[in-house]
Amino acid sequence: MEAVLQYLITGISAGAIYAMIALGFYVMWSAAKAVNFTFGDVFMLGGVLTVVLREMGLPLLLAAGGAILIAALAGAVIERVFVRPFNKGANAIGWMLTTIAVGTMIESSTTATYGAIGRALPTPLMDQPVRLGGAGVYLQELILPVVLLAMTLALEAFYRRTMLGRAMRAVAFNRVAAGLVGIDADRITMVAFALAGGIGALAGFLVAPIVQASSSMGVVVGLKGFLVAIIAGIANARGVVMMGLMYGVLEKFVEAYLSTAARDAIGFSVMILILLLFPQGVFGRREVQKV
Amino acid sequence: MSARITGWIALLVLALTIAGFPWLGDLIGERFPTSYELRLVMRAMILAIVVIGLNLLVGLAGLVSLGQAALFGLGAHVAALLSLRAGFSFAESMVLAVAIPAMMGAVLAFPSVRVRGVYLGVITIAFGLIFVNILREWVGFTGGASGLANLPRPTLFGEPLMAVRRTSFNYYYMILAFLLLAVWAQYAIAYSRYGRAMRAAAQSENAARALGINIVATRTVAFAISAGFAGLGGGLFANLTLFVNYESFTFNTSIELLLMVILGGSGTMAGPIIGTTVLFGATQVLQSLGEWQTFGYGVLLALVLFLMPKGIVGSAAALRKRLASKARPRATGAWPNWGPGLEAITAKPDEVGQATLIADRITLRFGGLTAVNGVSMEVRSGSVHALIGPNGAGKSSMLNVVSGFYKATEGKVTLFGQLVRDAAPYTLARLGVARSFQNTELFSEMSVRENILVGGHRHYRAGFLETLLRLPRFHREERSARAEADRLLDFVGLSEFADESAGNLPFGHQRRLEIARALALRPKLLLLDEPAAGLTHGEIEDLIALIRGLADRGMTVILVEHHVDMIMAVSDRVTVLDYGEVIAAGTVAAVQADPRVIEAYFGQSLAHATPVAA
Repeated sequence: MEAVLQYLITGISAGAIYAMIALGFYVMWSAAKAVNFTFGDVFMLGGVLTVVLREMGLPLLLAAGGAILIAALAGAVIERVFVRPFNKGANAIGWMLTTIAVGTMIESSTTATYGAIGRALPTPLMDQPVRLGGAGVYLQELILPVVLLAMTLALEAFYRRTMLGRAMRAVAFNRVAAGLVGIDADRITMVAFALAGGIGALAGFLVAPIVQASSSMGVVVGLKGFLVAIIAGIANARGVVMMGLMYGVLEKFVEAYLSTAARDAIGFSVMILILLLFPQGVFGRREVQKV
Repeated sequence: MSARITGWIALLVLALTIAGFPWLGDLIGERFPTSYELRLVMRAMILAIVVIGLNLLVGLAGLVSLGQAALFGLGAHVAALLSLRAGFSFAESMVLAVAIPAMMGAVLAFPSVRVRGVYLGVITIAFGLIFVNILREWVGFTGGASGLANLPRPTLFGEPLMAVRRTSFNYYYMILAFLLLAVWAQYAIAYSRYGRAMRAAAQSENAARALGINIVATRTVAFAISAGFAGLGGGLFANLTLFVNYESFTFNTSIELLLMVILGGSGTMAGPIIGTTVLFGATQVLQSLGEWQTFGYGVLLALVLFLMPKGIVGSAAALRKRLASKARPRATGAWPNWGPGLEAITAKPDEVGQATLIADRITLRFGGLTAVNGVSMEVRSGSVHALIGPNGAGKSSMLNVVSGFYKATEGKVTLFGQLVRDAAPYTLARLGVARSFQNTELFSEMSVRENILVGGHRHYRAGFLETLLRLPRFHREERSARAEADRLLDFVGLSEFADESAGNLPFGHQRRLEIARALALRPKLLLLDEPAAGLTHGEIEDLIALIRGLADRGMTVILVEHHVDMIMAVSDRVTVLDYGEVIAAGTVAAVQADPRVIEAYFGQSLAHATPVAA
């Protein structure tokens, strides 16, 4: 029973990371019907840049803020330079390749300059595990779902209550109509990518103390986040969050009861199977194709 | 000299160059090439085979695979495991090295090709990660990081297949033979109805479905073929290196393969070979970059996409076309032009006096919105039936139900005396239903003639193997399809535009082409969705003559239209819809006088209108 509780807690904590990344994908997809395919690298920047800025002498939170800011800027640049020109026409796929190119560049240049080996990011929340009904967890792990919840609520409030958020929803719903009422859809899309970049970097910063910040920390996690978003039906924020948490828990139980080595093979296979059963995503709605 | 002949000559030169390369040293009197260089060329040829397969997928079917390296690796591991563990012969293991990845490809493609683009990308990435994960962790079976070593040297007909410069290198020529076969297969598929169907599905799903093409099957086949090529490359690779492990087949390799396709020019015949040669050469250079090598790949990929999105061959072809095309004025022919041989189009109409379409209380709801509400209508064979009504009355929705694009929430559709229950558009097209679209849906990057040839897709009987081997029946059918396409082009007056890209046609011509393409299906029932919209007065006159001509020859036509003069001139019967319901039906004259119709159009019947003082 204690073991199950332990897996559940660490699963939810890992799932919170997937959910945050999936949320980033959701924000990008809503605005552009395209994403930064290698979003995992923006997530990585959050962790790595925090470490670098801290080593330069900045206090932890300031370093994190700086990293998030830089990642948000990177998100905006990626949108402007690598996504927008390659996202013309309904079935454009050029953005997939260009964002893969830029992701490759980010990751390999980080490896070359920062080094291939991960570095620790010490925080006070990793000092001592707390006991929770017999299960031992670090506060850093517990904080992840809390931040996720806050992030989801803040995002919903942003979409519903602020002018910018409403404009973003308008663009998501109908780009042309949004343009007709005076919304600069291109600008909004760029802001959305910056927002997603910030979300991803925040997730990277939060997870870095647990996994160590390395140039390769984002690749697989980013892909999992994207899969999670797609499986959930990418147009539904709450669904995306739920699916992220579930996937994290699933992984921990696979690790515990089946095999650590085969965790990803099993996890990905399950996702492919789910997509087979729900081509529109579990929480997605079938879009009526206009003929 | 036509581009095709230039291409074949270039291929011949390439084949001779590769074939002669091992003997270069004898010519210049040096010890070159050594086994090392021979192996490099062999590896490049193997990659080219894989890239040709990927080119079919990306360039024709418009689908992106980001896990092609895993399929390549699957072929390699199938070949390696079978010969190492099960003692299979070279030939036996090669057959399975092609077949198993091909099947895997079909399995992977099936769920994802229904929803385009991103999904397949994600699924293929996931597959690639699963593949590497299994290879790395299942040490007992695959050797893990140390891989599978010491494969037995392959033999064929008792002859060992060698790859050493000084003794024997017959395997080199075997790979060359496979490469040439791959080039041939690429050509044979691209220039056939299969290749056209793949391109059609990529450029307009709706139009392809309306012309009898099963999109899911087409894309699944495309992926299976492309995976088969990858498997072939993998099998050849394993038997060359006699050692395999997962490191050769990671995500980075998938990107490399994709980059080769795009660099060469996706969808072009020479692109894969040129892209592979250039990038494989560049890789040898990039290796000197050390830890910045991957960065170099990223830069290269971005540069190619920014500067040459069509790739080397594609850009060259575009340049050549621009230089060659003198601004030649082209004459648009008169239409409809009932030339000889067109009888075939209307040779098998629905039986005279039959009800071609019976729609029985059709209701169509989208969530809370009822677009069509209990509409019944009957259309006699050989008649022109107009469906009119104000905007949003449900006319197009009705047309979409009849052609299978929407599934009716309630009600029954009977076509040609046959109850069709939720039949897919491509099934209905094969029964004899053709349609045009309100917003013309052409295959804009295919030529005008090719657009019409896609319309003839379902008339072919030659199967895939016959097509691949170019057996007589393929040639016969292709010739007759081309002849019919030319007759249809003449019919709508577009003969001189046959080789133009459909997307470059002026609007009116696009409408003509869409109708000609629909007729290539030789339909019994033709559905036209606002064919007159955007046409000039003269063009509308011609359209009227065309529709009447078709009906007089036995074809049934259902027409959704706003243009009142046209409806009066062409229709036998009219059904009027408003808010999804039938408000009047009958002959043109009867409907015109119906007060409900007038009210639907003008808001208020004239009888109640306040007279305006003159």
